[in-house]
Amino acid sequence: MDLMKPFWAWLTVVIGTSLMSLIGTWVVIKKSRYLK
Amino acid sequence: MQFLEVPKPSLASGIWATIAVALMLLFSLWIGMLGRRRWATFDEYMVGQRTLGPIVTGCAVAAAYLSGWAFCGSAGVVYAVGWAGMWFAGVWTLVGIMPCVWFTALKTRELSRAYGATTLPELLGRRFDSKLVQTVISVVLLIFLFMYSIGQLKAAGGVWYVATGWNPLACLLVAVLVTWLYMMLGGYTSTQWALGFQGAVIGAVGTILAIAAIVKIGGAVGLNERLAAENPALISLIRPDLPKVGATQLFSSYVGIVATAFLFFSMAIGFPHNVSRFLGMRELTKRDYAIMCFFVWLIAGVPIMLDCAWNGAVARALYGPQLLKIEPWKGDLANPMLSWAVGGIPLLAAYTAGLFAAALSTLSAMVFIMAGNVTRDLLKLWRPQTSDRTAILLLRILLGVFLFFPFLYTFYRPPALLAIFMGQAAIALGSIFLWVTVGSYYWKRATKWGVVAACIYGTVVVLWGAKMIAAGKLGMGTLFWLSWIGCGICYFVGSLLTKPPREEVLAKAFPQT
Repeated sequence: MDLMKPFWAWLTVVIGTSLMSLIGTWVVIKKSRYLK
Repeated sequence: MQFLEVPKPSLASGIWATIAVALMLLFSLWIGMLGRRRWATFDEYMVGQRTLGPIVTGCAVAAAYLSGWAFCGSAGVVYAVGWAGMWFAGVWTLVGIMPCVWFTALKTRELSRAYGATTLPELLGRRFDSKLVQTVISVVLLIFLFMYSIGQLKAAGGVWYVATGWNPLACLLVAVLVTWLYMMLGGYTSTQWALGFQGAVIGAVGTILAIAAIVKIGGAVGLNERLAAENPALISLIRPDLPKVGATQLFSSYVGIVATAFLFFSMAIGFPHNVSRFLGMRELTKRDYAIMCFFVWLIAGVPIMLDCAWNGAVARALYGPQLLKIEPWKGDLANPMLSWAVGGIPLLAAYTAGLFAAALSTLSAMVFIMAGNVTRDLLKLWRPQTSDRTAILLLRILLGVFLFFPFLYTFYRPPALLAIFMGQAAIALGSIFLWVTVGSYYWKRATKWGVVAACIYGTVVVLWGAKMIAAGKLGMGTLFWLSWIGCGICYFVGSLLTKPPREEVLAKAFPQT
């Protein structure tokens, strides 16, 4: 039994979604015409 | 295995919890009262002067999104089933709330200004040049927000009882009255500022509790060793041994687990109390926007991603299955008992205040929308000669009425079916309003009939599904897919078969063409 498997799954989602947040925000800032 | 003894409330825990909740309410009142002179007309009462900055808006969005369930019930799910519960408990929080900011923040502000709208139904009604759209959306919101709001204070009342041993009647009544006072006097601006403060409390307490829990248990190895020793299923990422119908489908089958990610995505965007936070936002610079996104990530992301997996699991490792036997709270005791175990009475008191902040913030955001639905979207729409004074008076009364219903629910528990409806309300709001809001912001070809079809289909299928789930004939994940896909089909097919609004109306939403 791999005791660390759920932890790695959790960490992958946390890092993945945080990176997604960063990249998505950057894309909106670059593309949006509503920002001054 | 040896587990911690479940602590009992004492005079000290009661006094600390009272002080913490009182301080939170006093600060909310003080901050809320600052907005009481910031409006002169009904429009300003509804949406302020559209001058709110990125930090208060970011904190307010996070606070509106994080309900009592996110701060209490989610840990209970993981406590009951182990790591597999994290999929439903909020590990996808950023998959929902960040797209909500990306897709709706700037568009909501621009469109509401362009159309002179002060509520989401009014904005969409004018986008489609249709009173029918505004009316249908208002009625759908009233139905599902009412269901969703009913249980908001339940967790706060339960934790209050656990921390103090005292009946929560007086405490909840004071909390509701304080909330009504600043909402009634200051309207949207006061509500938004109080939400911003409550968001900061939630973020701070949630992060401290989660980090303290991880340290206490000795990290992932220490935690999982203890869980596996009690029951190896607690460290599984999926629990096929649990029923594949009802709520457990969300962690017992892949149909359910995949649904959780899409549920969070559509729910955060579809919640009108999230999207409405952008109505009163000022024009942002690129730097402002980055700051707002950072605060949303900090409050609605960090503590919830920690809480969703760790808190419930650490509570299980510390207390074993004992809490499941304590009626009527069961797994909902995971977070309060965890805070007691890792930080003693001071952290329990801070957690109690944080939970009140989470419950009151979501409740107040929803209540303001419901009261606005009746006054602005129904009364003012169909009887425009109603004076501002009458509308504001009615809105103030309705704020009290809608705040008071959840308070009553906490003491006079209605049939269990209503509690099940509450969970499905999130599915309905997400399934319907992902298409109706975001679709209509970005798809020029959308029509009012597509909107109406999605609203009717989503309402009917979710009310039917709630009964089927209660009868043990349907899984919650399956209902989500039925609702989400069906609403999308109705929206697109209904739109493609009918005529879009006039060009001059569309030009405001799509100015480049």
